[in-house]
Amino acid sequence: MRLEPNQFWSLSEWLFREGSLLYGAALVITMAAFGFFVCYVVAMVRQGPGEGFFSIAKVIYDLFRTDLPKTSLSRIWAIAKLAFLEAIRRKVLAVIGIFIVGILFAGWFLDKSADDPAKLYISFVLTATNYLILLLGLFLSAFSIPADIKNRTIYTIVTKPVRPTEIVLGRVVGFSLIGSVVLAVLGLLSYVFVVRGLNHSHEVATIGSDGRNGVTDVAGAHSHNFRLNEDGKGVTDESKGHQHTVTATKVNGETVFKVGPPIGNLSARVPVYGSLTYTDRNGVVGEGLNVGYMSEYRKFIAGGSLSSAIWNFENVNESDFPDGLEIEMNIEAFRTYKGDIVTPVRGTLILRSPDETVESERVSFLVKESLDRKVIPLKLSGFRLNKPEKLELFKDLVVDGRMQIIIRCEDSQQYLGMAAADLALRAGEKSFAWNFFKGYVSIWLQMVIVICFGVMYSTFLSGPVAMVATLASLVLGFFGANIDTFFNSQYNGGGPVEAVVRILTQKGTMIDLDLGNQTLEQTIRTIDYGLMSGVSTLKSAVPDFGRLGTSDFIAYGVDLFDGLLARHLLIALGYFIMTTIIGYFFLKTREMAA
Amino acid sequence: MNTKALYRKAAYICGIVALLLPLFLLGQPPTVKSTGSSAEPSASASASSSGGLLSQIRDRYDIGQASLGQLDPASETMRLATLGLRGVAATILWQKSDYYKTEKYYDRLSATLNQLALLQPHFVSVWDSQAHNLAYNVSVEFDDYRERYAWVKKGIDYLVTGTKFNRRQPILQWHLGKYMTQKLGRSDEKRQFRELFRNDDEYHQKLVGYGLDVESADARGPDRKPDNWLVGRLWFLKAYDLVRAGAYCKKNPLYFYAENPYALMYSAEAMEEEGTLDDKAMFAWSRASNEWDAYGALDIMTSWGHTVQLGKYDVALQVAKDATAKFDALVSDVRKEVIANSKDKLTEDEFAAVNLPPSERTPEQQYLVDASLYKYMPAKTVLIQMLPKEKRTEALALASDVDSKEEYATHVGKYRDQCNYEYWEMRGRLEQKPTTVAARRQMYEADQFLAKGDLDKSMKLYEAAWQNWARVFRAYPKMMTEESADEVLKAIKRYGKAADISLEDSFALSDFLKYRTIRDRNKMSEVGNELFETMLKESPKHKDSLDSPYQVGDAVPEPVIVQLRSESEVVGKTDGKPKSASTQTNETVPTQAKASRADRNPASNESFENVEFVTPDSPRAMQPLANLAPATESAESSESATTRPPTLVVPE
Repeated sequence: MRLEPNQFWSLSEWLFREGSLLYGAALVITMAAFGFFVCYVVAMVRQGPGEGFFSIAKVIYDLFRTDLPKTSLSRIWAIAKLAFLEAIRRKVLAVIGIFIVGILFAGWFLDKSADDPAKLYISFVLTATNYLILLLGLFLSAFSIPADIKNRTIYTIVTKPVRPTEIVLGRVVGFSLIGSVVLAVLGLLSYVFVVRGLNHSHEVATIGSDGRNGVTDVAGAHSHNFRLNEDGKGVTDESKGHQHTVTATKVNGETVFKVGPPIGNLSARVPVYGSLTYTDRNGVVGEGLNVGYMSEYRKFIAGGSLSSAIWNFENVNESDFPDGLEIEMNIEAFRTYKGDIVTPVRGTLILRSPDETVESERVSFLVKESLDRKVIPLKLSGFRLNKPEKLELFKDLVVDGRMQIIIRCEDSQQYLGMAAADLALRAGEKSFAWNFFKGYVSIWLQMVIVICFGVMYSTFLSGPVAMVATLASLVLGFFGANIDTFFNSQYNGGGPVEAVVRILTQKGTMIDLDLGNQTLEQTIRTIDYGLMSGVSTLKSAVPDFGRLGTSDFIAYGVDLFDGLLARHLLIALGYFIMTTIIGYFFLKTREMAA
Repeated sequence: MNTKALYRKAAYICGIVALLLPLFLLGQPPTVKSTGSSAEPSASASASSSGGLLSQIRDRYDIGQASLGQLDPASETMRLATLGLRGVAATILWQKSDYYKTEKYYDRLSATLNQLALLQPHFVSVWDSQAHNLAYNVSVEFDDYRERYAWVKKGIDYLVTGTKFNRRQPILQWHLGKYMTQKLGRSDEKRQFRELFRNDDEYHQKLVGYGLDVESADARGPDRKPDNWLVGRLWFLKAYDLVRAGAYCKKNPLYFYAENPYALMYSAEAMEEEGTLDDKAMFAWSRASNEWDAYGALDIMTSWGHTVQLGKYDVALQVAKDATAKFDALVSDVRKEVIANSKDKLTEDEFAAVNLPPSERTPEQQYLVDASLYKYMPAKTVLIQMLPKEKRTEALALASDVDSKEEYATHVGKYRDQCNYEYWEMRGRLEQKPTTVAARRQMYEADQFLAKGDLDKSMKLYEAAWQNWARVFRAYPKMMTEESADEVLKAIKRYGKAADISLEDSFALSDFLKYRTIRDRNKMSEVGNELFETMLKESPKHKDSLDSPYQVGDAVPEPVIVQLRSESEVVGKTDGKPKSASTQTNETVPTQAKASRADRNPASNESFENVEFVTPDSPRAMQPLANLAPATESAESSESATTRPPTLVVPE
């Protein structure tokens, strides 16, 4: 699973250390100033500078003086109920039908022979639900107010003592409610689909002459080897991301084997991540090596040298590790020569105190390139100031919850690759169902943001246009990273205008534009720059839906950090407030115009 | 108003109908009307409609959905669900697959490729390139060879699905054969891959489901388990069947059909490497050799527009030689006249060089011969012009015949070179001989005993192996430069080291060692050339010795040591004149090149009167002088190469 270090941060770290609070405050002030300026310009054109300023000031005054303080929850609820019923009348529940049809046929596309089918199944249901629910939010929110205005039913509402804030909030709440209902149903269906889809049973196919080693039959495109203990109980090896229990019992003198249900494919491990630094061949802190891969996610350390990867942990609590320190790692090997093909590349793992005076003995391991677990006992041998000594993990190596783990590559001219998230301490396990629920909360937050945007656009645009605008915001939100890459000229071929010219003149992206006219080329580039700047600015005002996605956590069986979820909640709240205020202003001015 | 609206609506309806008509004519699907009784299918068929224009075109070119391959509901659903945006969806999926590959999300890559292929089920390149991606590019990213093997299988499975959607594309089956043979059998991990494959019962069942009879004797190795080379060969045979049934394959037939015998050869080779060195190996090689001969008898279409039979190169050479003889007979008087006149034009050295048989010329003399070619060897056109008028037409026809026959022989030769025909032909004949198998077995067992520390048995077996290898190299000297010979060299080193002895001239493989010592210095000398050519000349009489292998305990035969002229006559006389210093020191024409010149030229003779027939405008005559010029070499090293026979050392 890929995680960027900033995703490990707790809510307070994100707010204060990363400066998100300051950034948010600056954004609010800038948006407010920009909004005021734009509104004033429009009002000034319509009514002249003095009158314009007065009307703007009045709207702001009304917001803080009457509309906001006197907003009634009961009226919001009444409008929300209306919106809810309206959505039911518009047959939004059909989405559930579409989803059911989708998962009925999903089995055709999902590859059960994949290394870890659970990842595929969970990714599929979360992604499908995500897209469906965002589209639902989009269609629900964008058409409601414009339809009311078009049918003039809005007058029956505004003539009542209902404030614009209540109309906007009522719609958002109402649509969010119906969305939540649909999402809850989809979530339940998804959960059943995943659990049932991954459930399978094996029989024992062959058993060795000693009656203890055996192989299960093939089910779900895999089989397991197992070894029974003397008490007739055992666990199979791990295949397709899970294991089974096997028990042998004597019935009427004959041994009957029973293979249990899959264990471990639906999990929610609680990881403790650390920050990662690398040292070069001489042991000097450096950047880590790139062995030639395009992906920069993992960096590599050289074997047979002092090059190492050092994780610094800060929250290692004794209470989380009562039976020893369980380390989970997924290290990659890169060979510069094939060497011994059968034996994997070797690495060593060392635990070290943060002041670097005490360190454990080396723990050798063979690189698996998949999730590998090591349990470090609470009492172990090691060195204090290079002198051998018996150590206690939480007394000698962990100081104030801080500790270092070092990985080195033992084989000369071979390399090991790792990123910060590739080594974690496993501090227990939480319920998969709860983690699944958190994943759906994350989707719910995205839905609310889309509804907020849809309602905001619908206060000043007609239905279809509001829908397109919301869709554009969604696309910007999902493909924001690509837009940044575009804007930073990392793609060949220029911007939209240059691209059109290239298509018409049949010029590939790798050659110069060369139109024979420098001025024309410069003009094209300037227009492109203007367009791209505009898109880039717009992009920064919409939420990064890519980053709000958390399906990987659920699919890879990692407990979704509460801090990350809280962060997403705050982001959603920010967009909720922003869109509500903008929606209020538009509705208020529109009302005045009417 | 109402009337206007009515007119407008009527106009719309007319417009719609007008648009529907051509649509109907174009897109009407074919139908079969059941007008006749079920007992008379012909009557039913006659009442069927061939459909609209598009349908007819699809029928004509056999590109209808049903004729391309299996109709898959999932694929059709996906294609319909994209609402005409299939191209956009496919592009996004391609991008995603690329991203997943770059960032190493291989499971997702595999899932995306499945979706992609469902969107474009009849786009052969998707299956082809992405299957290759999985089997070759993704598999190597894993350190664990078992994981690699699993991804090769994924690539194969992916391509198998492709064959179901494209049942008239033999190239897919052919590539399946390549993956199963080459990827599993030629990788660095071939030993592990082959072992995994032969014990992969689950996968064998899957292959049976794919329509491959992996349980048949044809697909099993010596241990009665499926062998990757032989199973892969079944895919090649499927591809050939498709082509025979009329499917088009754009692959060059030379390579397309070579894979079947290759698979058998490599299977036999792998069998021997893994220790099966008995009658089974001989049978496997004999079968492979027969398939190679059958391949040689195939009519292979060339890029020149005619077919060639690789196995009939000798016939082509003979035909060219006969044609040349006819022409020569017609122009012999005129040629003699020209050559006689040309004597005056040649310098003394040139005359001496030209007068020598080609095999006795030094490289410098050969250079002189080539450079003075235009002075004594008139072109055919010149000779024809010198003939009496009444003979010119006949001569012209004969000359044209010679050109075409020679050209044909050259084409056959070129195609043979491309698939290394001669080597595999020789290998097939040689490896099925009891002596070769015994040599390999003894060497293999000697290695085993040496590893166990049983020096006595090991030495005896090694010594027996050298006797057998000596027979092999004497019968097929060209084997001395092949991979097998490298293995022999390594084994000799192990033997020498273990026995702690220095090899003497009486060593059974002394000729081989001498030759390799010279050759592995990366240059050939007169001694090397002579040694090789002498062995080559004498090889036919040693062929029979391959049927009776030397066994441990047999009487040691007298060593056969090639007597070299350059060892006995170091004076360096060629035509009665002493060699110049440069002649003695610069000897670098590669044996292969020289041998091939002698082999290839349809009419090479050794005397001045009948010098090889090369016209000034032939490729041979146009050869850059640099190719013929001797390479420089230090006097000291060249002296050791020419005047002093090499001592018996094992080259590094």
